[in-house]
Amino acid sequence: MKTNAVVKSVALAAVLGLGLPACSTDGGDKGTTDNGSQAPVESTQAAENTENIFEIEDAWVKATQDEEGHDAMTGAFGHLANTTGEDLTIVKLNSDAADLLEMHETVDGMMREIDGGFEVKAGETLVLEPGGDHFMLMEMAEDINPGDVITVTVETDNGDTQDIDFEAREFVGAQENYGNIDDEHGGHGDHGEHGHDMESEDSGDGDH
Amino acid sequence: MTEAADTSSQPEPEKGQAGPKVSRRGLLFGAGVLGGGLIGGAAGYGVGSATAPAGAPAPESQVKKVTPGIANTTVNVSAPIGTDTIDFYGKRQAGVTTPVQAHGIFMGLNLLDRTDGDALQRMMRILSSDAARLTQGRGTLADLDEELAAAPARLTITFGFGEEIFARTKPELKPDWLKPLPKYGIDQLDPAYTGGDLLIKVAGDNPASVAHARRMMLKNVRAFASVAWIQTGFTQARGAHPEKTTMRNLFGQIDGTSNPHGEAQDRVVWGEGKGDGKGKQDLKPWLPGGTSMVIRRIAMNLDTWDELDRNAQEEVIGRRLGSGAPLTGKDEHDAPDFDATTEAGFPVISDIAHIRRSRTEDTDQAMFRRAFNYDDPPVTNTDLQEPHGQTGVSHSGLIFVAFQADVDKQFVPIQDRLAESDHLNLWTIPVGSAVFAIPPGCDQNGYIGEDLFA
Repeated sequence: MKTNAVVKSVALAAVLGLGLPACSTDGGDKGTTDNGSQAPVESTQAAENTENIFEIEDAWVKATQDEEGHDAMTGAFGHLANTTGEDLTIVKLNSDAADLLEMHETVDGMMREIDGGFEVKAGETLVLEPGGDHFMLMEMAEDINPGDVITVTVETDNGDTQDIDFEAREFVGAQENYGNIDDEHGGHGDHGEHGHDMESEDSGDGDH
Repeated sequence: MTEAADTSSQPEPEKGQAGPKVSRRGLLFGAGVLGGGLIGGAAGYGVGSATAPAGAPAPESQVKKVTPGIANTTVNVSAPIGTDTIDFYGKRQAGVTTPVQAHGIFMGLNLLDRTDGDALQRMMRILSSDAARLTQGRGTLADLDEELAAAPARLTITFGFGEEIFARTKPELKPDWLKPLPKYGIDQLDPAYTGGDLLIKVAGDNPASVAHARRMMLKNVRAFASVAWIQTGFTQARGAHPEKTTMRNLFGQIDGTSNPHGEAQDRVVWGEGKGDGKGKQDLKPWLPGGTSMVIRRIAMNLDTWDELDRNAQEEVIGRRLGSGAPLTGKDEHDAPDFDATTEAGFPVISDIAHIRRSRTEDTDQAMFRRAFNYDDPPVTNTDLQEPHGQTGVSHSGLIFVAFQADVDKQFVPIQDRLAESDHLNLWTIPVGSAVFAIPPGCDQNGYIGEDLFA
């Protein structure tokens, strides 16, 4: 319940990258549901319905470090709370920033594309985080620099779409997710894959 | 990181489990001391703490459960000292004339060559956004350690721009006074504490949240700029003295007594209004809500200062050490009488006393000081050449910080006089110096410095 209040009160600012004084002790939630539509809609997907599906909190994308750019991959994170009252499944992602987008889960430190997309039941929050579920962006058009905002359009099984803005931050964690595409779909986990070692350490240590 | 861990390990652990106990102990302690007549009253806290009357008893602190970010964990924080916040958004930036905190960190950064105007705009957006979050007790975006933000304790984060930021954005907005100070004969400036393109000031009463904010700011900045220098300082723990007690520097002097307040402050710092009407300068802010910051690192030679007796120390400044009163008065805020003479006909406040040299009739020639002490480990390795008269006991001084609307019209004339003749110069050496333009504040839809990118 506390989560919901926080989700709503910070959603807009987080999406716009404005930051917000959101002391979680506050209850100043007006139940607004207009955050997603604030994003300038430039998606290649003609969004027939970008009214809110999810309340968004702290949406961010890892800035890419790849000097070559074109083959860079990255992950997008945040909390997506389903406040529609219906069970939903995210079936498709689109973005101008990447030619290929996938929904990935992490199991035993191994990343793999999730079958059929992320299911988000009514009232639940999809948690996208480094080392866990995330949106994966591949075949990037350009580097994503810190402070850039990229828009990802999510499409649900009932055909609705929502544009979500992710603000880019330099981030040295979440490396396990992008290490080796060939391995990750194998999913054996029988030796120390990149992610597994990282994952067993505390993730807060990843910065230096 | 070690700094954060070390410092926070002292006051922090009590906060969670033993909050109420701490406060009870505090009250008992306070009562005992009051009986002895040492302290007039404990500090008054709360949102209105800045205006709390001196002598008001401390309210009992309460434990608040705070969720500082999306990991949805809970941290116990003591209210009001831990939970007190200072607004980030507003017409003026926080951290200039807002209440002084216990800990301050000043970071000078140099822009990378590749950081162009577009990159600077992105940088200021994310710095502003994360500063807004941290100062209100919330982790940043991509913050894996958001619990460290849970007790902001009046955290402020303030940004300043050096000349280079204007050169890469809107040179026409650069104030004329934004340049290095004139070279003074007393200066022994060390590049390690001088110059810089971007200033980030982080200050707060909780060393752990200050350290976290410092780190998150530097993480955000690293794609755009590199660290030129960092200066870490302190005033006095919140609650150690009644609110609004002027800080003491490490010479034991009450430091900052003559700071302007009210309308005088509006004019001196922000270039707004007429002040006391006695000013003779044409003061304007470089942008409405903007000001300037001069930061000077002043090495203080405590060991040769010790060679003076207290009377001599007081004559150097022109004030009493104990009360901070001018030698011609009784209370800290009494106006000094520069005409008063001793029976022998000598001025009571000497001709080279610091307070005489720093004043003029022109009340526009003034500044708002926000200094922090520094107390670094003494250099004991005799192979190292350490200047400034260190004797291996102390390596201390003042991070002198002054805000004023116009450096050339307000700060420089005073500094000229002090550099020319100030008794205090015998025990102090400026070893670092930088000047920054402090942009106005912003609202929730904006970011600090947006005028340079409009």
